Amino acid sequence: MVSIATARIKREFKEVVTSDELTKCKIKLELLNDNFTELKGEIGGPPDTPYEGGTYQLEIKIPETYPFNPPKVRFLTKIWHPNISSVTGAICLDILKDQWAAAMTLRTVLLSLQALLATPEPDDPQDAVVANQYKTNNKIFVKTARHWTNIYAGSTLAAEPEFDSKVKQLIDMGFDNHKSRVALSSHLWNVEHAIESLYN
Amino acid sequence: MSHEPSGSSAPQNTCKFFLRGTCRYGSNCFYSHDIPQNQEKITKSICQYFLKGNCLFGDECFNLHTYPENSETNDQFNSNIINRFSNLKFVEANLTDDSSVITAEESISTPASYYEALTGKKLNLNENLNNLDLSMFDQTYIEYLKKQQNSSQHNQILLCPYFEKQLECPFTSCTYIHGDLCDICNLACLHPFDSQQRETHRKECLKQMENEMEEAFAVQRSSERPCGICMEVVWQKEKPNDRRFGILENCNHCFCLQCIRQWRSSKAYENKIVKACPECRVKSDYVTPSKFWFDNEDDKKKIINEYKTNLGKTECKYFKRGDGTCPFGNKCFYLHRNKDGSIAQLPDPTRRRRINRFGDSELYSDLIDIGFDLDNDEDDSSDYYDTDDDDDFNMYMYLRQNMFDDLDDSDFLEFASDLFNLFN
Repeated sequence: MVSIATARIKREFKEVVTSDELTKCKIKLELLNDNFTELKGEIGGPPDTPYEGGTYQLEIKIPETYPFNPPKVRFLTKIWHPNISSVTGAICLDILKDQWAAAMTLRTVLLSLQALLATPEPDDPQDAVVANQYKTNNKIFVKTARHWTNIYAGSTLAAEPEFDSKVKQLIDMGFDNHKSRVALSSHLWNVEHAIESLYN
Repeated sequence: MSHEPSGSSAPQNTCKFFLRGTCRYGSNCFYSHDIPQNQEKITKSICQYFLKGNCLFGDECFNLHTYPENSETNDQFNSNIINRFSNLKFVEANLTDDSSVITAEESISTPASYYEALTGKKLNLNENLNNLDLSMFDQTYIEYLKKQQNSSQHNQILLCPYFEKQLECPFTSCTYIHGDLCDICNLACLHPFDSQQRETHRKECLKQMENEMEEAFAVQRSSERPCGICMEVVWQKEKPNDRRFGILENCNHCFCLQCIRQWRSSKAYENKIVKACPECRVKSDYVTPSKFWFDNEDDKKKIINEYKTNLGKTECKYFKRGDGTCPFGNKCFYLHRNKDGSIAQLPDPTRRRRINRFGDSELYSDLIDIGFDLDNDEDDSSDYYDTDDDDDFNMYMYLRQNMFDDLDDSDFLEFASDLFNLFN
């Protein structure tokens, strides 16, 4: 007998693949295995946000108890966002935790994630550093987020040449590309502080 | 039966088939085709239908088409008449006719008085029945029926059942009334003279048609509805027993019974999450099982109330006719009846606080309103309603799973002792 989870994912998959609304929102879904337990999602960064133009890959794991429990979702693409870990991609979103409802679908989850990108919740953070930056130095946060979108999410919009050169500076010193960027992003793009943290 | 024609042996007994007029072998028959004089009286009896005037076989009839002659058959006929007439219960019949001699109600409750009503003569059952005027019998009986036209009590019985169903009657002179065709049910069941019967029938017919239409609409409404949780069309679920809706009291979102119950008994989330509709998060206290889906608010309320009424006829498993305590008190849907049969008046549900696993104070009654979903078991055959089996142990296990799994140890010990008292 087909489990309720598998049967439902099959239905949802069809719905997401065929829906015009979702292609308009740049939402995609892809199967990774035959038993419908692992999928790859993709959402486009919402317009008028630092994530605009970027494409974000998501890892979706369907538990056996789905839809009575939420799918496990994580960002594969690196992102600078208060509610998403810049290290692991873990997401802090209530509906993926204690506010889940059995009637929610992969479609609503992906749309919610897109909405989360547009409206971060710094008071309920996943990444404390990012959330702090968002609250205390929003200008730099926006620039950093846009820079990350540019580098990791493949956006072709407005690059931050200033940040690029700072990262290059650190790479030239022998530091890892990503680690340098994280260090700089976490220290408001202050090169000295970043180098200090990297040495520690 | 050996009924082979054989020319060699002489005919012995009379052929039974010949006597019934159905022997296929004619003169070649092994058995005698002579009718013995004495046998005629035994095998042939007077045709009942002939006496009523409507024998279908006419001259071909195997039974005698004669009026009884000797005293022996007279007695038989006599008792036949009595039996026949006592079967016709004209107890309340009214004779309002001018030609009738007798008009009192009880006067035609016996065969004798019936005869009197028809002929105006006294019927003496000891008298030789040849003296009675039987020729007018059939005719007057029909007339009598016609006179009955406006006394509605028995009119429905008197409609010819053959004509009513098939629109044709096998009897050439049927003594029953051939009704008019009802254009709704297509049966000849409208009494030609009885306006009251016609009206009643029309009303019933219309009502039945309405019911059928309502059901057709209900089927149309329900057959394509998908469940919001498993997303399958509820009526197309694999197991026939799963093809039921779980109707929520406070919103109109559609789920199959199995899914909504599983969601509501989920232990992974707070009570206010799982007791709410998974679509709109509006809280409902209980789920009503139903075969059909209802769009209309009034119909929905009706089915919910019917369900509650139905539960109210089942004895509460906690109350146990006064031996136990029902934690739901007067909010319980089940029947609280004492051993003497009187209905017990219970207080409000016990409201006790406890600390939940999130560290918040929570009302005990919030916790136990899970009990409203207890009417949940798989082996019910009813379409509309669940009927639970009387298994207290299952109840105990269910309660334990649903009520106590999210308590910590100290809470559990406290509840366990309460529970022990509750179930022992």
